[in-house]
Amino acid sequence: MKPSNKGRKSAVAAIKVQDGWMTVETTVNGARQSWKIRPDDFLLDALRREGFKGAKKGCETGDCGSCAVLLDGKAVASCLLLAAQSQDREITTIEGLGTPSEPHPLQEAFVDTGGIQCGFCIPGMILSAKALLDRTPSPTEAEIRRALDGVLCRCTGYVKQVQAVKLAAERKK
Amino acid sequence: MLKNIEVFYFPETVKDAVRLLNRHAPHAAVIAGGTLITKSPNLSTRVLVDIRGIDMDYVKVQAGRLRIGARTSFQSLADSKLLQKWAGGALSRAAAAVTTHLIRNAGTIGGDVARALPYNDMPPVLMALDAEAVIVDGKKTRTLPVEEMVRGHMWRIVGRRALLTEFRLPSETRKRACAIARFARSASDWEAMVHAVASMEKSRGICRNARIVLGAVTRHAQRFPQAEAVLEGKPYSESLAAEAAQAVFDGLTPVSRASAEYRREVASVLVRRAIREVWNENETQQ
Repeated sequence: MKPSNKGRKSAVAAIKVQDGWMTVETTVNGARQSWKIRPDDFLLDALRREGFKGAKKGCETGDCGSCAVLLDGKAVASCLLLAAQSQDREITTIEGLGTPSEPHPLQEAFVDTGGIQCGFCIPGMILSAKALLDRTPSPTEAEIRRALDGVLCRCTGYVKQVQAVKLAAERKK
Repeated sequence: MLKNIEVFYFPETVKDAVRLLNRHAPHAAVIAGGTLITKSPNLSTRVLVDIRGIDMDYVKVQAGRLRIGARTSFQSLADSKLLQKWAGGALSRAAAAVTTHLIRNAGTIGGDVARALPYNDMPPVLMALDAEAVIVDGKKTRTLPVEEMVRGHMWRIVGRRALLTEFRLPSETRKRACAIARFARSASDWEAMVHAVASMEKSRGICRNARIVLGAVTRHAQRFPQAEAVLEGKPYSESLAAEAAQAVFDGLTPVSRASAEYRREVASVLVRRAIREVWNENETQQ
Protein backbone atom coordinates (compact mmCIF):
# COMPACT_ATOMS: atom_id res chain seq x y z
CA MET A 1 0.00 0.00 0.00
CA LYS A 2 1.40 3.36 -1.08
CA PRO A 3 1.03 6.31 1.30
CA SER A 4 -2.55 7.40 0.87
CA ASN A 5 -3.59 10.63 -0.81
CA LYS A 6 -7.30 10.08 -0.26
CA GLY A 7 -9.42 12.78 1.27
CA ARG A 8 -6.81 15.49 0.67
CA LYS A 9 -7.00 18.32 -1.77
CA SER A 10 -3.28 18.09 -2.36
CA ALA A 11 -1.44 15.13 -3.78
CA VAL A 12 0.92 14.99 -0.83
CA ALA A 13 1.76 11.44 0.22
CA ALA A 14 0.87 10.69 3.81
CA ILE A 15 0.79 7.89 6.35
CA LYS A 16 -1.90 8.13 8.98
CA VAL A 17 -1.75 6.68 12.43
CA GLN A 18 -4.82 4.63 13.34
CA ASP A 19 -5.43 3.39 16.87
CA GLY A 20 -1.78 4.08 17.64
CA TRP A 21 -0.39 2.11 14.71
CA MET A 22 0.84 2.99 11.25
CA THR A 23 1.99 0.97 8.25
CA VAL A 24 5.36 1.67 6.71
CA GLU A 25 6.43 0.18 3.40
CA THR A 26 10.13 -0.19 2.99
CA THR A 27 12.71 -2.44 1.36
CA VAL A 28 15.21 -4.39 3.43
CA ASN A 29 18.02 -6.27 1.69
CA GLY A 30 16.09 -6.17 -1.55
CA ALA A 31 12.82 -7.54 -0.15
CA ARG A 32 9.72 -5.39 0.20
CA GLN A 33 8.49 -5.08 3.79
CA SER A 34 5.28 -3.86 5.31
CA TRP A 35 5.71 -2.94 8.95
CA LYS A 36 3.05 -2.17 11.50
CA ILE A 37 4.77 0.29 13.80
CA ARG A 38 4.17 2.91 16.45
CA PRO A 39 4.76 6.48 15.22
CA ASP A 40 7.65 6.98 17.64
CA ASP A 41 9.38 3.69 16.85
CA PHE A 42 13.00 4.08 15.86
CA LEU A 43 14.29 2.33 12.76
CA LEU A 44 16.60 0.24 14.95
CA ASP A 45 13.72 -1.09 17.05
CA ALA A 46 11.58 -1.86 14.02
CA LEU A 47 14.45 -3.71 12.34
CA ARG A 48 15.23 -5.79 15.41
CA ARG A 49 11.56 -6.62 15.95
CA GLU A 50 11.38 -7.82 12.36
CA GLY A 51 14.32 -10.14 12.96
CA PHE A 52 17.21 -8.04 11.64
CA LYS A 53 19.17 -8.36 14.86
CA GLY A 54 22.52 -7.69 13.22
CA ALA A 55 21.77 -4.03 13.92
CA LYS A 56 22.82 -3.75 17.56
CA LYS A 57 21.33 -1.67 20.31
CA GLY A 58 24.23 0.05 22.04
CA CYS A 59 24.09 3.65 23.19
CA GLU A 60 20.85 4.79 21.49
CA THR A 61 22.32 8.27 21.22
CA GLY A 62 24.18 8.03 17.91
CA ASP A 63 27.60 7.74 19.54
CA CYS A 64 28.60 4.07 19.28
CA GLY A 65 27.56 3.19 15.73
CA SER A 66 26.73 -0.45 16.41
CA CYS A 67 23.23 0.20 15.03
CA ALA A 68 24.58 1.36 11.64
CA VAL A 69 22.65 0.30 8.56
CA LEU A 70 22.74 1.56 4.98
CA LEU A 71 19.85 3.80 3.98
CA ASP A 72 19.83 4.29 0.21
CA GLY A 73 23.48 3.24 0.26
CA LYS A 74 24.63 5.62 2.99
CA ALA A 75 25.65 4.51 6.47
CA VAL A 76 23.40 6.00 9.16
CA ALA A 77 22.70 5.46 12.85
CA SER A 78 19.36 3.62 12.91
CA CYS A 79 18.87 4.54 16.57
CA LEU A 80 18.37 8.19 15.62
CA LEU A 81 15.97 7.77 12.72
CA LEU A 82 12.28 7.12 13.00
CA ALA A 83 11.14 3.93 11.33
CA ALA A 84 8.66 6.04 9.35
CA GLN A 85 11.58 7.86 7.72
CA SER A 86 12.43 4.61 5.93
CA GLN A 87 9.14 4.75 3.98
CA ASP A 88 9.88 3.86 0.32
CA ARG A 89 13.62 3.68 0.90
CA GLU A 90 16.19 0.89 0.61
CA ILE A 91 17.79 -0.46 3.76
CA THR A 92 20.75 -2.82 3.85
CA THR A 93 21.53 -4.68 7.05
CA ILE A 94 24.35 -7.12 7.73
CA GLU A 95 21.90 -9.98 7.03
CA GLY A 96 21.87 -8.84 3.40
CA LEU A 97 25.60 -9.22 2.90
CA GLY A 98 26.51 -12.89 2.94
CA THR A 99 25.81 -16.30 4.44
CA PRO A 100 27.97 -18.49 6.70
CA SER A 101 28.81 -20.69 3.69
CA GLU A 102 29.24 -17.77 1.29
CA PRO A 103 30.45 -14.76 3.22
CA HIS A 104 30.75 -11.32 1.66
CA PRO A 105 34.39 -10.42 0.74
CA LEU A 106 34.42 -7.89 3.58
CA GLN A 107 33.24 -10.50 6.08
CA GLU A 108 35.94 -12.87 4.83
CA ALA A 109 38.60 -10.18 5.13
CA PHE A 110 37.52 -9.33 8.71
CA VAL A 111 37.86 -13.02 9.66
CA ASP A 112 41.20 -13.41 7.85
CA THR A 113 42.81 -10.40 9.52
CA GLY A 114 41.48 -11.23 13.00
CA GLY A 115 39.44 -8.03 13.03
CA ILE A 116 36.62 -9.62 15.03
CA GLN A 117 36.57 -10.36 18.73
CA CYS A 118 33.23 -10.07 20.51
CA GLY A 119 31.54 -9.10 17.25
CA PHE A 120 29.11 -6.54 18.64
CA CYS A 121 30.43 -3.64 16.53
CA ILE A 122 31.23 -5.68 13.43
CA PRO A 123 27.93 -5.25 11.51
CA GLY A 124 28.33 -1.46 11.80
CA MET A 125 31.99 -1.70 10.79
CA ILE A 126 31.33 -3.90 7.76
CA LEU A 127 28.34 -1.86 6.55
CA SER A 128 30.32 1.38 6.93
CA ALA A 129 33.15 -0.24 4.97
CA LYS A 130 30.73 -1.44 2.30
CA ALA A 131 29.35 2.08 1.82
CA LEU A 132 32.94 3.26 1.35
CA LEU A 133 34.03 0.54 -1.10
CA ASP A 134 30.84 0.92 -3.16
CA ARG A 135 31.84 4.51 -3.90
CA THR A 136 35.63 4.33 -3.54
CA PRO A 137 36.95 0.91 -4.61
CA SER A 138 40.60 1.75 -3.77
CA PRO A 139 40.45 3.90 -0.64
CA THR A 140 43.45 5.39 1.12
CA GLU A 141 44.05 4.49 4.76
CA ALA A 142 42.81 7.95 5.76
CA GLU A 143 39.57 7.35 3.85
CA ILE A 144 39.13 3.98 5.53
CA ARG A 145 39.67 5.46 8.98
CA ARG A 146 37.22 8.22 8.19
CA ALA A 147 34.62 5.74 6.95
CA LEU A 148 34.91 3.72 10.18
CA ASP A 149 34.90 6.79 12.44
CA GLY A 150 31.30 6.29 13.54
CA VAL A 151 31.70 2.83 15.02
CA LEU A 152 33.32 2.20 18.38
CA CYS A 153 35.13 -1.09 19.06
CA ARG A 154 36.12 -1.87 22.65
CA CYS A 155 37.94 -5.17 21.93
CA THR A 156 40.45 -4.99 19.13
CA GLY A 157 41.40 -1.39 18.71
CA TYR A 158 41.06 -0.46 15.09
CA VAL A 159 44.26 -1.59 13.38
CA LYS A 160 43.03 -4.98 12.21
CA GLN A 161 39.72 -3.61 11.03
CA VAL A 162 41.47 -1.02 8.88
CA GLN A 163 43.68 -3.85 7.53
CA ALA A 164 40.56 -5.89 6.79
CA VAL A 165 39.02 -3.14 4.66
CA LYS A 166 42.34 -2.73 2.81
CA LEU A 167 42.48 -6.47 2.19
CA ALA A 168 38.92 -6.60 0.90
CA ALA A 169 39.66 -3.70 -1.46
CA GLU A 170 42.79 -5.42 -2.78
CA ARG A 171 41.02 -8.75 -3.31
CA LYS A 172 38.25 -7.00 -5.20
CA LYS A 173 40.69 -5.71 -7.83
CA MET B 1 9.05 11.57 22.65
CA LEU B 2 6.88 11.73 19.56
CA LYS B 3 4.11 9.52 20.88
CA ASN B 4 1.30 11.80 19.81
CA ILE B 5 2.03 11.78 16.10
CA GLU B 6 -1.14 11.31 14.09
CA VAL B 7 0.16 11.64 10.56
CA PHE B 8 3.39 11.79 8.55
CA TYR B 9 3.44 13.83 5.36
CA PHE B 10 5.95 13.56 2.52
CA PRO B 11 5.54 16.77 0.48
CA GLU B 12 7.61 17.29 -2.64
CA THR B 13 7.42 21.06 -2.92
CA VAL B 14 8.11 23.96 -0.56
CA LYS B 15 4.59 25.21 -1.25
CA ASP B 16 2.99 21.95 -0.10
CA ALA B 17 5.21 21.78 2.98
CA VAL B 18 4.36 25.34 4.03
CA ARG B 19 0.66 24.69 3.42
CA LEU B 20 0.79 21.65 5.70
CA LEU B 21 2.64 23.58 8.41
CA ASN B 22 -0.02 26.29 8.23
CA ARG B 23 -2.93 23.88 8.22
CA HIS B 24 -1.67 22.01 11.27
CA ALA B 25 -0.05 24.85 13.24
CA PRO B 26 0.91 24.82 16.06
CA HIS B 27 1.04 21.01 16.09
CA ALA B 28 3.19 20.37 13.02
CA ALA B 29 6.97 20.00 12.94
CA VAL B 30 9.44 19.55 10.11
CA ILE B 31 11.70 16.51 10.03
CA ALA B 32 14.76 16.37 7.74
CA GLY B 33 17.68 14.22 8.89
CA GLY B 34 15.94 13.46 12.16
CA THR B 35 19.06 13.28 14.32
CA LEU B 36 17.92 16.10 16.65
CA ILE B 37 14.12 16.01 16.59
CA THR B 38 13.79 12.29 17.25
CA LYS B 39 15.49 12.62 20.61
CA SER B 40 13.81 15.85 21.74
CA PRO B 41 10.57 15.27 23.59
CA ASN B 42 7.77 17.45 22.32
CA LEU B 43 4.41 16.01 23.12
CA SER B 44 2.55 18.81 21.35
CA THR B 45 3.75 17.63 17.94
CA ARG B 46 1.01 15.68 16.20
CA VAL B 47 2.01 16.08 12.57
CA LEU B 48 5.44 15.45 11.08
CA VAL B 49 6.30 16.93 7.71
CA ASP B 50 9.18 14.91 6.24
CA ILE B 51 10.89 17.19 3.72
CA ARG B 52 13.22 14.62 2.17
CA GLY B 53 11.42 14.79 -1.19
CA ILE B 54 11.87 18.55 -1.59
CA ASP B 55 14.72 19.84 -3.75
CA MET B 56 16.61 21.59 -0.96
CA ASP B 57 19.87 19.65 -1.18
CA TYR B 58 22.36 21.75 -3.14
CA VAL B 59 25.34 24.08 -3.00
CA LYS B 60 25.50 26.57 -5.87
CA VAL B 61 26.51 30.08 -6.85
CA GLN B 62 23.93 32.42 -8.29
CA ALA B 63 24.55 36.08 -9.09
CA GLY B 64 27.82 35.80 -7.19
CA ARG B 65 26.12 34.65 -3.98
CA LEU B 66 26.53 31.22 -2.48
CA ARG B 67 23.27 29.34 -1.95
CA ILE B 68 23.05 26.28 0.26
CA GLY B 69 19.84 24.24 0.44
CA ALA B 70 18.66 23.79 4.01
CA ARG B 71 18.34 20.03 3.61
CA THR B 72 21.97 19.58 2.53
CA SER B 73 23.63 17.01 4.79
CA PHE B 74 26.86 17.69 6.67
CA GLN B 75 28.58 15.08 4.50
CA SER B 76 27.45 16.78 1.28
CA LEU B 77 28.77 20.08 2.63
CA ALA B 78 32.07 18.43 3.48
CA ASP B 79 32.30 16.90 -0.02
CA SER B 80 31.20 19.98 -1.99
CA LYS B 81 34.01 21.18 -4.26
CA LEU B 82 32.39 24.60 -4.42
CA LEU B 83 32.23 24.92 -0.64
CA GLN B 84 35.80 23.71 -0.27
CA LYS B 85 36.83 26.89 -2.11
CA TRP B 86 34.50 29.39 -0.48
CA ALA B 87 36.14 31.37 2.34
CA GLY B 88 39.03 28.94 2.38
CA GLY B 89 36.63 26.01 2.76
CA ALA B 90 35.62 26.95 6.31
CA LEU B 91 32.02 25.67 6.15
CA SER B 92 33.15 22.50 4.48
CA ARG B 93 35.77 21.87 7.18
CA ALA B 94 33.27 22.61 9.94
CA ALA B 95 30.80 20.13 8.43
CA ALA B 96 33.52 17.48 8.10
CA ALA B 97 34.22 17.85 11.83
CA VAL B 98 30.62 17.13 12.89
CA THR B 99 30.79 13.97 15.03
CA THR B 100 30.96 10.90 12.79
CA HIS B 101 29.95 9.93 9.26
CA LEU B 102 26.82 8.18 10.56
CA ILE B 103 25.54 11.56 11.72
CA ARG B 104 27.01 13.57 8.84
CA ASN B 105 25.08 11.40 6.36
CA ALA B 106 21.76 12.20 8.05
CA GLY B 107 21.98 15.58 9.80
CA THR B 108 21.40 18.75 7.78
CA ILE B 109 22.61 22.34 7.92
CA GLY B 110 19.01 23.54 8.20
CA GLY B 111 18.37 21.42 11.27
CA ASP B 112 21.57 22.68 12.86
CA VAL B 113 20.25 26.24 12.63
CA ALA B 114 16.51 25.62 13.11
CA ARG B 115 17.14 23.76 16.34
CA ALA B 116 20.15 25.81 17.33
CA LEU B 117 21.55 24.15 20.40
CA PRO B 118 24.38 26.25 21.90
CA TYR B 119 27.08 23.87 20.67
CA ASN B 120 25.83 23.28 17.11
CA ASP B 121 28.75 23.59 14.72
CA MET B 122 27.26 25.39 11.71
CA PRO B 123 25.88 28.62 13.24
CA PRO B 124 29.23 30.18 14.29
CA VAL B 125 30.74 29.66 10.83
CA LEU B 126 27.60 30.85 9.03
CA MET B 127 27.58 33.95 11.24
CA ALA B 128 31.25 34.66 10.58
CA LEU B 129 30.41 34.64 6.87
CA ASP B 130 27.38 36.96 7.18
CA ALA B 131 24.95 34.23 6.13
CA GLU B 132 21.24 34.86 5.83
CA ALA B 133 18.51 32.27 6.18
CA VAL B 134 15.64 32.17 3.70
CA ILE B 135 12.29 31.64 5.39
CA VAL B 136 9.13 30.78 3.48
CA ASP B 137 6.06 31.67 5.46
CA GLY B 138 2.72 31.38 3.73
CA LYS B 139 3.11 33.16 0.43
CA LYS B 140 5.90 35.40 1.67
CA THR B 141 9.61 34.73 1.41
CA ARG B 142 11.91 36.67 3.67
CA THR B 143 15.50 36.56 4.79
CA LEU B 144 16.87 36.79 8.29
CA PRO B 145 20.51 36.92 9.43
CA VAL B 146 21.56 33.56 10.87
CA GLU B 147 22.68 35.57 13.89
CA GLU B 148 19.01 36.29 14.64
CA MET B 149 17.79 32.81 13.76
CA VAL B 150 19.95 31.13 16.38
CA ARG B 151 18.78 33.24 19.32
CA GLY B 152 16.32 30.49 20.14
CA HIS B 153 14.40 27.58 18.70
CA MET B 154 13.22 28.51 15.20
CA TRP B 155 9.61 28.34 16.42
CA ARG B 156 10.28 31.22 18.78
CA ILE B 157 11.99 33.31 16.14
CA VAL B 158 9.80 32.87 13.06
CA GLY B 159 6.79 30.95 14.32
CA ARG B 160 5.63 27.43 13.61
CA ARG B 161 4.23 28.02 10.13
CA ALA B 162 7.53 28.79 8.43
CA LEU B 163 9.94 26.61 6.49
CA LEU B 164 13.67 27.31 6.42
CA THR B 165 14.67 26.62 2.82
CA GLU B 166 18.11 28.04 2.15
CA PHE B 167 21.21 29.90 3.34
CA ARG B 168 22.77 32.70 1.31
CA LEU B 169 26.30 33.98 1.69
CA PRO B 170 27.23 37.35 0.15
CA SER B 171 29.65 37.24 -2.78
CA GLU B 172 32.33 39.18 -0.88
CA THR B 173 32.69 36.33 1.62
CA ARG B 174 34.12 34.06 -1.08
CA LYS B 175 37.60 35.54 -0.62
CA ARG B 176 37.37 36.00 3.11
CA ALA B 177 39.76 33.97 5.19
CA CYS B 178 38.13 32.03 7.99
CA ALA B 179 39.61 29.91 10.76
CA ILE B 180 37.93 27.62 13.25
CA ALA B 181 39.30 26.63 16.65
CA ARG B 182 37.10 23.98 18.22
CA PHE B 183 37.75 22.37 21.56
CA ALA B 184 35.82 19.30 22.73
CA ARG B 185 36.48 16.33 24.99
CA SER B 186 37.12 14.20 21.91
CA ALA B 187 37.20 14.80 18.16
CA SER B 188 33.86 13.03 17.71
CA ASP B 189 32.10 14.74 20.62
CA TRP B 190 28.78 16.30 19.51
CA GLU B 191 29.14 19.09 21.99
CA ALA B 192 32.09 21.42 21.66
CA MET B 193 33.23 22.96 24.93
CA VAL B 194 34.28 26.12 23.08
CA HIS B 195 33.98 26.86 19.38
CA ALA B 196 35.75 29.98 18.12
CA VAL B 197 35.54 31.27 14.55
CA ALA B 198 37.44 34.24 13.12
CA SER B 199 37.10 35.63 9.64
CA MET B 200 38.39 38.74 7.90
CA GLU B 201 39.65 40.26 4.70
CA LYS B 202 43.21 41.46 4.48
CA SER B 203 43.55 44.67 2.57
CA ARG B 204 47.17 45.82 2.13
CA GLY B 205 48.19 44.40 5.47
CA ILE B 206 45.12 45.75 7.27
CA CYS B 207 42.28 43.73 8.90
CA ARG B 208 38.90 44.49 7.32
CA ASN B 209 35.42 43.18 8.05
CA ALA B 210 36.66 41.13 10.97
CA ARG B 211 34.16 38.71 12.48
CA ILE B 212 34.70 36.98 15.80
CA VAL B 213 32.06 34.41 16.77
CA LEU B 214 31.90 32.03 19.69
CA GLY B 215 29.72 28.95 19.95
CA ALA B 216 29.06 26.58 22.85
CA VAL B 217 29.88 29.03 25.64
CA THR B 218 26.70 31.08 25.91
CA ARG B 219 23.04 30.26 25.30
CA HIS B 220 23.51 30.67 21.58
CA ALA B 221 26.36 31.39 19.17
CA GLN B 222 27.35 35.01 19.55
CA ARG B 223 29.39 37.63 17.70
CA PHE B 224 31.83 39.77 19.67
CA PRO B 225 31.70 43.30 18.22
CA GLN B 226 34.13 44.54 20.90
CA ALA B 227 36.80 42.12 19.67
CA GLU B 228 35.99 42.85 16.02
CA ALA B 229 36.41 46.58 16.68
CA VAL B 230 39.89 45.96 18.08
CA LEU B 231 40.95 44.40 14.76
CA GLU B 232 39.11 46.64 12.33
CA GLY B 233 41.36 48.83 10.19
CA LYS B 234 44.57 47.86 11.96
CA PRO B 235 47.66 46.05 10.74
CA TYR B 236 47.91 42.53 12.14
CA SER B 237 50.27 41.78 14.97
CA GLU B 238 50.45 39.20 17.73
CA SER B 239 49.65 41.86 20.29
CA LEU B 240 46.58 42.95 18.31
CA ALA B 241 45.32 39.34 18.36
CA ALA B 242 45.97 39.22 22.11
CA GLU B 243 44.06 42.47 22.58
CA ALA B 244 41.06 41.09 20.67
CA ALA B 245 41.21 37.91 22.75
CA GLN B 246 41.25 40.02 25.90
CA ALA B 247 38.10 41.81 24.70
CA VAL B 248 36.41 38.40 24.42
CA PHE B 249 37.65 37.43 27.87
CA ASP B 250 36.27 40.67 29.36
CA GLY B 251 32.94 40.53 27.57
CA LEU B 252 32.10 36.86 28.05
CA THR B 253 29.83 35.31 30.65
CA PRO B 254 29.84 31.57 29.93
CA VAL B 255 26.89 29.42 31.01
CA SER B 256 26.75 25.74 32.04
CA ARG B 257 29.17 22.83 31.38
CA ALA B 258 32.57 23.28 32.98
CA SER B 259 33.36 26.27 35.15
CA ALA B 260 32.89 29.77 33.79
CA GLU B 261 36.51 30.73 34.56
CA TYR B 262 37.78 27.76 32.61
CA ARG B 263 35.64 28.45 29.59
CA ARG B 264 36.47 32.14 29.53
CA GLU B 265 40.15 31.27 29.56
CA VAL B 266 39.79 28.63 26.82
CA ALA B 267 37.61 30.97 24.75
CA SER B 268 40.15 33.77 24.76
CA VAL B 269 42.99 31.37 23.90
CA LEU B 270 41.01 29.89 21.01
CA VAL B 271 40.05 33.34 19.71
CA ARG B 272 43.70 34.36 19.67
CA ARG B 273 44.64 31.16 17.84
CA ALA B 274 41.82 31.58 15.32
CA ILE B 275 42.86 35.17 14.57
CA ARG B 276 46.48 34.13 14.16
CA GLU B 277 45.51 31.26 11.88
CA VAL B 278 43.16 33.33 9.79
CA TRP B 279 45.84 35.91 9.28
CA ASN B 280 48.45 33.36 8.25
CA GLU B 281 45.97 31.57 6.00
CA ASN B 282 45.23 34.87 4.33
CA GLU B 283 48.95 35.53 3.99
CA THR B 284 49.56 32.32 2.05
CA GLN B 285 46.61 32.98 -0.24
CA GLN B 286 47.94 36.34 -1.39
